[in-house]
Amino acid sequence: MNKSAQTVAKEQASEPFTWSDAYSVGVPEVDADHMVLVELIGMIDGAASGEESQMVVSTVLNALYDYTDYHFEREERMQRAIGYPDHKEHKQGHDRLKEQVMAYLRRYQEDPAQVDIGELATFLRCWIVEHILREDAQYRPYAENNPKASEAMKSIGLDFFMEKTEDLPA
Amino acid sequence: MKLQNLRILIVDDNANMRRLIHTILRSMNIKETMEAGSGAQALEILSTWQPDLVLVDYVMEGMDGIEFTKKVRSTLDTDNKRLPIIVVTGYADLQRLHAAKEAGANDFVAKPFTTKTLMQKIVRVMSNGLTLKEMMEAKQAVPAG
Ligand SMILES: [Fe+2]
Ligand SMILES: [Fe+2]
Repeated sequence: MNKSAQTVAKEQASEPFTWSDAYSVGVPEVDADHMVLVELIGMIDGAASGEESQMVVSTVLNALYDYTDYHFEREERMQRAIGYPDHKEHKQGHDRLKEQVMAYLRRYQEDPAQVDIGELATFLRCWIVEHILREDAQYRPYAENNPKASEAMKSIGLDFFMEKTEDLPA
Repeated sequence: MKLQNLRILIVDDNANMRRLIHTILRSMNIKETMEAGSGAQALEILSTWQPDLVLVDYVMEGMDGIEFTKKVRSTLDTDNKRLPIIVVTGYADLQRLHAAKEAGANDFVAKPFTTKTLMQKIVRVMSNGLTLKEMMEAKQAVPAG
């Protein structure tokens, strides 16, 4: 059986954070999204010690927020499409997670010095690993080998990123 | 233009930033990218590999993003082929915007950027191919009455 999320997160706390097959939820499109999130989170530690670290960490957090937003939207539609009974509760969990990432992002952008990067990286690792293993894993019996799951995931494409225009400083 | 078919050259002297841009582009399904750690290395790559777009850092040791853009415009571009260039910068002030415009860049992205901003700039540049200068001139050319 799967190891608990905390065990996995703890084991990896001192190693580079990378994708593990244990994270698979049985839908290739969902796994691909999760791989992007894992890769972004895995970049934080290295970025923190390098040059222009604030710029890099801020950009990682921005990308993480945008991609999380996109992934949750797709995953929520997929859950409704396959008739996953707990889709409402799952969405509430997503909304909370998005708020947490946004709060970290704001705090970091206001004053990077008050955010401990190691703590941030650990928080995000636990966040993604726990969500995938505890929450996303629950829909696996409904989604695996279900063509409706892949179809719904594909129905929200990259146009998602074109929808809302950002206000950029001139 | 299909975003996922674009070939993009990433030029930045910061390896972490290069990797990050690569990852962000991959999150947009763009798989064909190359990375250069300096302007000189980028020019070398361009002599054998033709990307659809270049993302170049403004501040770099040796040849900076502006000098790189000028070099491309003066030596590599021909009449019917202009290489789209987006300058990426940590400090987005008017002076830098002006320099990017005068060098012939197509757009300007301020770090830290979002995936949405980067994608929207890439799509804009790839769809109309205009440089910053041409866009500003087009805006001014709106007939007055
Ligand atoms: Fe998920
Ligand atoms: Fe989820």
